[in-house]
Amino acid sequence: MLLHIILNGKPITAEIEPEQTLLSVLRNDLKHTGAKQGCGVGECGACTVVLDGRAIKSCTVLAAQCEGSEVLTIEGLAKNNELHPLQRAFIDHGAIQCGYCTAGFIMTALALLQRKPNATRGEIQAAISGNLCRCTGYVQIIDAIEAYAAALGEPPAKEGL
Amino acid sequence: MSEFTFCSVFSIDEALMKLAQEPGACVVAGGTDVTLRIREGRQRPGLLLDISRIAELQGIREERGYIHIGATTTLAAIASSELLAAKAPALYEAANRFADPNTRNRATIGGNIVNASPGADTPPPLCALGAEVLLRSPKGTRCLPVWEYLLGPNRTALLPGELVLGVRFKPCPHSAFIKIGLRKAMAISVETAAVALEKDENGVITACGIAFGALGPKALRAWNTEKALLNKRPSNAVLAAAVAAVGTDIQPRDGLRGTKEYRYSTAGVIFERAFLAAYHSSI
Ligand SMILES: Cc1cc2nc3c(=O)[nH]c(=O)nc-3n(C[C@H](O)[C@H](O)[C@H](O)COP(=O)(O)OP(=O)(O)OC[C@H]3O[C@@H](n4cnc5c(N)ncnc54)[C@H](O)[C@@H]3O)c2cc1C
Ligand code: FES
Ligand code: FES
Repeated sequence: MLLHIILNGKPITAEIEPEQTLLSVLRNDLKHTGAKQGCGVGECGACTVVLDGRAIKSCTVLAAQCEGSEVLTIEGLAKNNELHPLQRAFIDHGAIQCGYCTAGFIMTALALLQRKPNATRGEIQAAISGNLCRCTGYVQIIDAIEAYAAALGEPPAKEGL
Repeated sequence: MSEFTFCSVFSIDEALMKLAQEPGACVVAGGTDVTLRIREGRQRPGLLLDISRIAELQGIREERGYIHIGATTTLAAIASSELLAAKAPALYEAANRFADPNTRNRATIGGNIVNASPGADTPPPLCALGAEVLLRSPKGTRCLPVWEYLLGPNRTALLPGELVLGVRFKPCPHSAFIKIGLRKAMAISVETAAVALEKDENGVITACGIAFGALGPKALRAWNTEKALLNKRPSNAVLAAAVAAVGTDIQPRDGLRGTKEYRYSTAGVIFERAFLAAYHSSI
């Protein structure tokens, strides 16, 4: 069957199987491998992408259910060879070691801050509670997200996507 | 070629028609359970029927003395509903302890009560609140109390060809939910307790619903515990009798997430906490 989605702002058509997950379509068919498969069963968050404005675990979503939807992945963040400020914040805060979890954390944080630019540290912690990191630990990750949020709050710096 | 087919429907009638045409069809709401079944090869190939676009099945509303929650309402919507925070704190709290926010963005209440895992988080508060499930087939709509609708592990009274429309219950501000999980987020319940009650101006309990999750093959309504409290004004003695009654209502088993003995002793504790939270809630 054919699937039409807006992927990182571009309309895309893909030939998919009805039972494929969104993660499988992104990685195997659309060659967008930024979203990772960790557990494949919804437990780790490595596959997190933003679907119509909400962070979701793409390994537990049927791709066919996303017909017409907007999907944002980590590939959509950098613009003109410039990292997105949230990506930059992860680097600046040492929030990455192996990097397997990073795209998932960033997509979760982006969706949160788009809804709630002034999210508190507690709200950041709650939002990422389904994202696992096995090497960096969470403090640097939360620091990075918090620093980006603080920068967002500062007028006139208004980061779009 | 895949042995699966896929179809999105946009109305309840259209969904029922498809279900009648393709008896083996699998309804998909959020897909958090169905995608796992497919991955593990436990889903019989056939039609995947997407009901997530049926507007009539979505949303939370209060109407003629009842709160209605449509089947495809997400746990995220329940966890952020001011109406439920004020009028059904037990369900609101359960939604806020469910998995993590990103899973809640997909998981639906209808999927949760059809999947009917013994440790599912919404059945205990629904049982305590005295909620009914609305089921629709081409023959018409029927309405069952949640504790009768639930039959056992992953077994419910839902018939082939039938669709869950949603749940409804009367507002109950004096209600509460306590979950024991092995960690704060992404935790399958070790056990849960939900309490919903009404009291008169003297503090006498005039109505109560108590239910446990993960302490039996399905969410259990704690009839004996309820009897121990009904028409009483809570004192230490009344509460002790109710805690003792808990042991007669539950059927815990040894499991991955706790021994039988552990569960017997903690069930009384979480019941008491939920009871006190519900009784003293000032809303
Ligand atoms: C990582 C992870 C964590 C989880 N954590 C929790 C947790 O903390 N607590 C908890 O209780 N559960 C948890 N679950 C289980 C699951 O998310 C829930 O059961 C969820 O509510 C299912 O909803 P859904 O819309 O995704 O269901 P789906 O997968 O779409 O459907 C589930 C079942 O219900 C049927 N169905 C769905 N809607 C209807 C309807 N309206 N009428 C008839 N049949 C219908 C489907 O055919 C299927 O059999 C978790 C799952 C995952 C993957
Ligand atoms: S790969 Fe999707 S949550 Fe782990
Ligand atoms: S950086 Fe390795 S898992 Fe998070």
